[in-house]
Amino acid sequence: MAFTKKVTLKSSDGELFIIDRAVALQSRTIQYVLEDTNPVDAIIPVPAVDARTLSKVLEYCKKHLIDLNTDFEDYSKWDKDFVDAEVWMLYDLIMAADYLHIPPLIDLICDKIASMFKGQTPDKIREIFNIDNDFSKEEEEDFKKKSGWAFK
Amino acid sequence: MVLETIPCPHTSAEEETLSIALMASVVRPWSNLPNDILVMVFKRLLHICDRIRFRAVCKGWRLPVRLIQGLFPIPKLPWTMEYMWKKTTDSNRTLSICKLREPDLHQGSSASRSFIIENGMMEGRSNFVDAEACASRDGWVLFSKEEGKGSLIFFFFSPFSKEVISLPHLESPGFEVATFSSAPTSPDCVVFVTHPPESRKISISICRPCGDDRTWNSSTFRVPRFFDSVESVAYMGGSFYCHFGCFFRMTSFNTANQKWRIIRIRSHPSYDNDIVIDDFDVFCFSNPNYLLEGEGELLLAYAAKDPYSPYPGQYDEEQFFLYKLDWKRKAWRNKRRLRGGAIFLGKTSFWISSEGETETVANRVHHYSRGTPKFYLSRWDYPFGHVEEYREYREKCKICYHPCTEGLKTIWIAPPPEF
Repeated sequence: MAFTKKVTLKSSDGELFIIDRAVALQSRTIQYVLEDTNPVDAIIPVPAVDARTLSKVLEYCKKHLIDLNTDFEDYSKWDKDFVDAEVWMLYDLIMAADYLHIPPLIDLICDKIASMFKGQTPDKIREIFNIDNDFSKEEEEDFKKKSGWAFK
Repeated sequence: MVLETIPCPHTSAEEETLSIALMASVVRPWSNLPNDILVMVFKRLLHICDRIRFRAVCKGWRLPVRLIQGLFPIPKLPWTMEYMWKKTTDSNRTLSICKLREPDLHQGSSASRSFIIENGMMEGRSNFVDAEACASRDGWVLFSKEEGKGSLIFFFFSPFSKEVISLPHLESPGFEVATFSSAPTSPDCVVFVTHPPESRKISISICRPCGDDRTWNSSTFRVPRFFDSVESVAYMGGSFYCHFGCFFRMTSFNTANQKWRIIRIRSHPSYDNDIVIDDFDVFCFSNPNYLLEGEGELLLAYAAKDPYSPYPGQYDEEQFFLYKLDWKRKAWRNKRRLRGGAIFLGKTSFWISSEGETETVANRVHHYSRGTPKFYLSRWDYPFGHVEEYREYREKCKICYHPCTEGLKTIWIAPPPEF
């Protein structure tokens, strides 16, 4: 039986994830931890990421490790489905990807978020992302005056 | 430590739904996203409107300009502004139509838009009635009109901010060209106007919109014989250059030391190619010509008569000759290649160096002729010939500009500032 090194990650809510070392190495954050301490069978805590998000991130890492040989079309379709998620999930994912430092995943999610902005008014964007408008009346007026043409 | 399984929530479907609902109910602080993530999203917004709107969502997303400036440029092709201001029966109100159009880089995709700035009856716009655009720079357009006899009105209008900057009345029977050096909100802006020459003298008027003294200052200078009228003007490196409609006749006016200089062009351009101009005099004196700055060089574009035109004697602007000024030898030299640059001719002409997405316009001279955008290519021969086969070439050459709305006037305008 081939010997594969395993790594154990512990999510913020205490769940343990045993994964191949190669999968974990896609996260630069974990890569640094492994290089620094080289823990054998030790648990690496991931305090900023909960289990649901971590499992989704690891799903991405596994896919992108195993399927390196699949052609581009397949890959992009899978990626597209992967980020076809609820808005709150995207937030958790981007924060996790940022914390774990997985550049291709960050790019993928940023592409998705940016695509949701295109052609939308600030009001609509606030609605989609559940953001409060914290600008004062005067500031709003100032935007309208300076670049009102861009809001129509 | 040995771990047997990958623990995952062993929950019933009902619990699963409940837990998702719980997860979703926690508010995600989108407005507090770290700046580095916001910048990464921002750079993916390729349309200027999306960028402006993005920064208007909440304070957390109002990225400081220093973080985004110059990092993610979007194509800087000129836009066009179409306008008309008409008198109505109601003396307080003016029929105002003003539209901005951006170039269509993606061939009829929804990415190209036109923006209606004004369309309807506007109050307090009596100055605008029948005003004509004279020049455009940095998103500002200089307008002029005659007010009764012997008085000229000049004002600036920015279609992006709808700001109007009025200048004092200029007491003069008329003018030939008018232009300006930089945005009228910048302290070093100078407005430059030339008046029709009288017996070998020419007078010019300048005004500094942001200066302490906003009044017009006029000066009169001597000009040699045959310097009859200024045909086009360009601003470059602190000086206004006037072209008098003939190859040999140029002047410059330095805004800093107010010096007026006659530039003697010694030789006329060579026609060493296969183009022969038979009526050189006519060609010299009456063709539309455009002076402009491109990459630090002074360029001159001359519309040429098409020898095969079905309307002999008319200047159909079917071809453009392009010259650059050779300062050392004081001569106009043929400029056969634009080397990736693109030229936009009009009341104010623009040069852009095209790269990346804008290379679709590279090596072309763009010009609106009676409301129709035309573009000219230097192909196997010189000069730049009008590409007639509009439909056929549309695909290959990608014309980015649309015909002007009928009844409106059009002028090139610099694209809006990004932030």
